[in-house]
Amino acid sequence: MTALLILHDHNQAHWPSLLAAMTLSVERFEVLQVGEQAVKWLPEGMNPWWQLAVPPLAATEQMCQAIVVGCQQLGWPIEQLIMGNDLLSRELLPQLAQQWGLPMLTDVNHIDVTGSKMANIAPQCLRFLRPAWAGKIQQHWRTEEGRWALTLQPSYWLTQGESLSLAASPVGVAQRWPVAVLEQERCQRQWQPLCSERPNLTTATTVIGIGRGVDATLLPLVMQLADRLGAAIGGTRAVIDAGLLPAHLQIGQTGLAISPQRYLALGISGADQHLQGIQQAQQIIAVDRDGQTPLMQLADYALVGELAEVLADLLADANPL
Amino acid sequence: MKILVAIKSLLDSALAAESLPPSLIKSHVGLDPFSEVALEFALRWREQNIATEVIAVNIGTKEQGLRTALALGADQAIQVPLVSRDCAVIAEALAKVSQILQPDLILCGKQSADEGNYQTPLRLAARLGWSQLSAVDQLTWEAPYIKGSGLTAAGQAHYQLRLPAVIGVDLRLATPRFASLPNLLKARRAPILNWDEVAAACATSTLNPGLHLYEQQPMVLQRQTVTLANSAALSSLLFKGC
Repeated sequence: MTALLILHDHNQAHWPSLLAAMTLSVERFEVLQVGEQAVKWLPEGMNPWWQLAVPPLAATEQMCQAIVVGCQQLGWPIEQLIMGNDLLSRELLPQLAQQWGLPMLTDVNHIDVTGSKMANIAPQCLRFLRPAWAGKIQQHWRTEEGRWALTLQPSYWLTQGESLSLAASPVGVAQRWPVAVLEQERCQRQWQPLCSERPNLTTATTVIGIGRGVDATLLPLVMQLADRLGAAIGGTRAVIDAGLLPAHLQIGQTGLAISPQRYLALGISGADQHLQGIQQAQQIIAVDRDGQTPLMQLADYALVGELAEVLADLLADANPL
Repeated sequence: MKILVAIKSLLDSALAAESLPPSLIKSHVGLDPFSEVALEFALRWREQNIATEVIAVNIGTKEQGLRTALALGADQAIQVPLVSRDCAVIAEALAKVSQILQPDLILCGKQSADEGNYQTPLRLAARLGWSQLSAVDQLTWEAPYIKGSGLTAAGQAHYQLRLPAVIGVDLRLATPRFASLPNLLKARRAPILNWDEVAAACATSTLNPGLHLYEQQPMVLQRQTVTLANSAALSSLLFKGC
């Protein structure tokens, strides 16, 4: 019986959080890093990591194949499987779960570990919480056999202050995964990397979200404010569909879930689909001309006002860069 | 090209209604929005003569979603009367339907609006051994390739693949149409095939969920809202932290 945590180069900021979650839930586990980036640190007392290089044109189908065959060769019967909830795990994990016949939960935001560290009743009595219905419902699941695959919302473990003792000193060299990922001719892919000088939306401490209330004329002001605050910018589906922001900056049920220390919502009414994405924000500040919208009712701080004026005032107060 | 569109009816049977607040139930009836987009796209390809046949299949017991699909223009509607919230069981049922119908392309939502599992298309592709694309926001047919694009962890990806394939669609792929009243009335009496054998085969298969849902609670977001008087107060909060 083997527990496996899969990390990848694109979610490095979440590694400590995912490692913490894994340490809480299972006795021992293996770590597989998908990607080529060098490992800078390793938690103390862990098995050496495994590293799986992925050629640029490979599809998740081939990654899945390489992982399944590799586990076979290593003699690992995978019973527990965890990844962070991001665009790679959404593709890869269901395929792995299907291959291994594991039941799977998506976007788990809490693991109840009562008793999991006691010798006899190990992983069987775990309970998992996850949102459904765009965050309106919290589902409670339990496992009876200790076989599961999960994608986790990493922000939860960070906000809970779970910490790992990360070894500052020499790191072990990752071992090469026994099976290589093949590029497949029938399915070609090419990437257009996302470049931005702003902080990453999922790891930024301050995020500015814009909604229907922000139009093209206000966007430059929002960007100036983001620069002053060192904030990432995201938007609701309405804004993305209107072409104001690129699709990878969508916050909400069909986009990203964020967990900043503060979230400044400008002109966002607060549809349920958007609220699901910002539940983990520690402080929500909303500015809108209408004080009765769901988000204005829910925010920690609400300011009713015309965005153009508010933005102008804020920029006047902000220290010039 | 024969397209199978796997649709989901929201609030199917007693499953969802278990412990949901009544307001939620009222606001969600009929076809899942992601299924609507998948169906819309299949119908467009049939109108452009890329697809020859569009078959809608629903794993569940409610007919409403399939009636809507027929009213919108699906050629055929198939119901597999099976109630499960386990994506492995749904994928198994769809795989069995696919083995009977032999479609070239299976379209479905990348996720559902209710449970939001993001699993069914990927499990189905892995089960059938087909290529897959997930969260696709653009799709064109340049024989013999399907070309598409979608967001991935590494960036915007552009794909090219051969059939057969399973494709999970993003809401951005197409804007669904509305069914006309005459078509809605006609669809009321249109035949829906009931594939009990497939449901029976899945129910008796050795699939073991292993995870059990034992409670559902409405989420309450508890925050005390402080109303700020003016932008000076907001400015002080943002730049000075109080």
